[in-house]
Amino acid sequence: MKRSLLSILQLTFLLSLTSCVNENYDLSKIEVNEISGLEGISVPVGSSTMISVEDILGFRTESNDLKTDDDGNYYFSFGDDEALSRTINVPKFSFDGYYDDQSRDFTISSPVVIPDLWDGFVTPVIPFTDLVYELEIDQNNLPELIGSIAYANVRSRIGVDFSYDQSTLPLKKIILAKEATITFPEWVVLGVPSNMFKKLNDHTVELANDFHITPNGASIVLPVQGLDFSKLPKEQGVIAPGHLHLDADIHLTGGIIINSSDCLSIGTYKPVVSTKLYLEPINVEALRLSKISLGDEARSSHTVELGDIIPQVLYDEGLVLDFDDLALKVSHYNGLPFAGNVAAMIDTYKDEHPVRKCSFNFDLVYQLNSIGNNIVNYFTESGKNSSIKVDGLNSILNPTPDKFYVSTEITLDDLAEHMDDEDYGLIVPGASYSFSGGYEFIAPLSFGSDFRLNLTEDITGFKLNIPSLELAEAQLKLNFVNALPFDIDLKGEAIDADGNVLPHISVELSGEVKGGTVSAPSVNPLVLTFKNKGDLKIDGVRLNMNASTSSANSVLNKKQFIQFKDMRLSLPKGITYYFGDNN
Amino acid sequence: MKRLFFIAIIALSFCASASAQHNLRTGYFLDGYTYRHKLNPAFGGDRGYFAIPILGYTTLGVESNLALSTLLYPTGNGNLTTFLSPMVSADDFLSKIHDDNPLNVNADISLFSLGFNAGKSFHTIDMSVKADARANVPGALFSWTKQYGNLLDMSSLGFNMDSRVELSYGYSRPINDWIRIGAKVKLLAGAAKAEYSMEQLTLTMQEDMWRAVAQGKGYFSVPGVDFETEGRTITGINMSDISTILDKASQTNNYGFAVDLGITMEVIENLIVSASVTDLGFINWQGMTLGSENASIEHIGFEGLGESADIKDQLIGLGNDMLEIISPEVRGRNDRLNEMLSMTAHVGVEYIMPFWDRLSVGALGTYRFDGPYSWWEARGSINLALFNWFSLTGNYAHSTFGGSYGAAINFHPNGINFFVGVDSYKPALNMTKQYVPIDSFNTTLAIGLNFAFGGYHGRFDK
Repeated sequence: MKRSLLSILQLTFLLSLTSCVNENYDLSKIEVNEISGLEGISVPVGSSTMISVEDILGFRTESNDLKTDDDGNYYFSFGDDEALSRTINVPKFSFDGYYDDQSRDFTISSPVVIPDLWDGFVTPVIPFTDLVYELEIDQNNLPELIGSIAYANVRSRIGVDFSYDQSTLPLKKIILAKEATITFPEWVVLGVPSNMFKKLNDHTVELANDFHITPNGASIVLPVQGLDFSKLPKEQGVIAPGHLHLDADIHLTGGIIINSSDCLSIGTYKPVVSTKLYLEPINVEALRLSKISLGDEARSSHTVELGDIIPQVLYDEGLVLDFDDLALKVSHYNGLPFAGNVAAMIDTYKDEHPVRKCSFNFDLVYQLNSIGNNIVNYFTESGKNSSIKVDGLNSILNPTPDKFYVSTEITLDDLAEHMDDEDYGLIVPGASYSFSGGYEFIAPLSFGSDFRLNLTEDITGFKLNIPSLELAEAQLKLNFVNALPFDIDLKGEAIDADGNVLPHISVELSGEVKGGTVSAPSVNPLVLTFKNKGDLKIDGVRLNMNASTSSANSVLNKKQFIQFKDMRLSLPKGITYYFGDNN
Repeated sequence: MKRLFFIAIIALSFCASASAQHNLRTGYFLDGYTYRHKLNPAFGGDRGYFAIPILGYTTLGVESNLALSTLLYPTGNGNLTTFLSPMVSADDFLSKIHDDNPLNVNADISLFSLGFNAGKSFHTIDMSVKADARANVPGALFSWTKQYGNLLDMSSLGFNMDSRVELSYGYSRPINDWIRIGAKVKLLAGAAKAEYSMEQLTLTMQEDMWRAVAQGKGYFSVPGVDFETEGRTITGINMSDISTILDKASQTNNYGFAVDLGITMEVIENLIVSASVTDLGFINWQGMTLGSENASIEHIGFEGLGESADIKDQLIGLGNDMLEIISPEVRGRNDRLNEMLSMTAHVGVEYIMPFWDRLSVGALGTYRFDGPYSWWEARGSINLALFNWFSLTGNYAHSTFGGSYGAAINFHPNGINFFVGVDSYKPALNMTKQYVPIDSFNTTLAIGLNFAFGGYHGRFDK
């Protein structure tokens, strides 16, 4: 037993010590013709700079007419801040009354018998027949801007001269009895008369005391402070530009008194008193007009040659930009105390042929004094950012015109009924008034419905064309950050160091690029896989980007961009490197 | 003479650090094995011995879980190719790679060794040169070269080399009829030490850049070798001539102390349980503290279209950046480093066959406490003491480094003691034509020729 066990142990021990030489392992025959490894290596190659929409579309905002607002939205604008600028000089003028043959004699119906010169006899008031004077103002030289006068502040006097012939009427004086009245037309606004009168209304006065008429004559005078044109019959007033016509009657009624002590002799008297109406020139101090006629002063037209100012990019074929919700900004300054209306019409022309037309109007706000304020109104077709809509405005630049014709006309009306204070709203002769208007046509740019983007960008410098290095497959992984508002189709082409396309190398793209916004750019993971049956001797990739917009109104914003971010060059099957001549 | 003595020691120290191994664990149960006291100081000697210098006891060892067959592959046409060949699939290669791939090389060479029995006691006096070189390559680094990943964690990368001269005195004796104890005290003189390890070294590929984070620490104390620095940055190495190196080595300020402790117990008849710890001690070094800041770099690719994205430049630039952050700096000169020795613990159980006391079986557990380079082993053996002058053993072990077969023989007649053994002869089972092990480097070879004297005190002395 012991001997057998000993024999087994000895045999096992000897066998276990037997070394074995493996013929397959000869260290003198190590073959290092090629090595491979780094399967799946991914080399970060950083991120591209942001490629701005300006780089993509190839334009710059250095153009004076292509601007961005505070949010970065592009807009193209043109206009004229002083498209309409006028100063109205109102000359001093007066109304000249026409009153030829305005002498009237008044008599009494029955003679007065004076029996005794000294008995203190005083006759009762002996009425005389009403005297009627015709007052007429007909003037053709009014300033033409005066359309319709509502009221005129004037400075003038009107009166009646009395006289008689003592040789035929031997009286030291004749007494015009108190309570005699002078009645003017309603549109004559009297001023404050002297104490001898009592004003019954604006246009009627009554003698407060007896008025003595002597052979040398006597006059009664009344101030005139205004002419109320609103009380004129329709056919009177400013009947034509520059032509004023007024006519009316002035009535004098009353009686006379004869005191016997004034008689130079006894007898029977039938006094005849001569009267004559007189009117001083009516100096116009201020006018409240119900209408002002600006005539040619209020008409303006402008022609803008857009070919010089619209960026060429808007004309380029294949790159169609659009205008998004056009807006017309109208500013005006109205130093006249009138409200009114502005009517404007826009015509566009291309190759001298009319293309588009739109018109609009808006009310001008009156100013309460001659220090006007700038008022800005915005007009859009949609009403967005504006309460005023202009039909057809959005299409006015489609197609892009080469000429833009703007005409405006302003009419002004008195809005006296809105005025609280008579002192306001008056035109003062001798003063100057101004109004002005400007416009700016604002066209936010957008990617139009016909927009087509064709963009090529090269990502180069991979330098995978290292001799003896074989790559079975390469991948470029990246995040395509898109702040453009539309999807982008991508295709890749492998290129060599000279930028030549390598058609034998296929480039498969997985992933898609969705549209984004400036505030929320889309981040789109993409993988470009380069494959070739042979080797990949590439230096980079050419990305051909195509995009189109299916709908308009995608605004064009300076902050829009695309960016190739977090780029990683991966070699899923690693690297094979050949030594010696095996390559 | 003294100078020649030191020349020999230093030369052996440096040579040893380039080859190496620990004690022959296969010899733990080998009858008559003179140097069992190196494994457990409680073991006594069958006879007294006197070692022939250098030839008396030499062990050389390599421990690694990497094999040549992992790195080289037959092509089928009689040639070999590397694992980097496209013929070698990544899955096949990576299945052979472990998370950590240590390579430990060590040596123990006896300069002077004497053992003798005095009564029931056994005394040893020994002067040896020991050297260890350890390195660890993270498996991730191999994986990365073959199959790229977004994270490359090389935090366990490092190396450690030291060599020392030990002067020891050992004593063992039975304290009763079934227990024997032993101890050994050691005075240590450090010859050289160099270590550098990464506390963190990661390379991460993030979305658009590489990010490398590194932090390392180390120590350097090699006589006659100094670093040129600018500030803390190492710019060059100055090596003295050999005589200066020897002078400096002979004036070493690196001293230490250690003990080995052991016990054997025949708990029941024929069943012997033993345990020991060796190298329980420290060594105090004087040298340079090395380190690198907790640094990180972000290696970004290119910015902007049209710029270069050259993959080669990228990798070169990345490599340069990484070298920059992992390069050690000199943190201090003439710094003292108190370092615990790498301790080894053994627990053994031997059962002597009752039907034939020259046959026994044994089980040995070993654990090496060595920080990131620690390892364990379980070894079962059959031991045969055919004669009082010849014994042999064969065993199988499984360890951190895989499975292995060991064997040893020992001729120990009166007057001479010759032994040779390996902890694993697996490397010899499959070798290249140049006799390089293919499947495993993992083994320890021990050989020794000693003069034996004195009467027989072995277990057959009854």
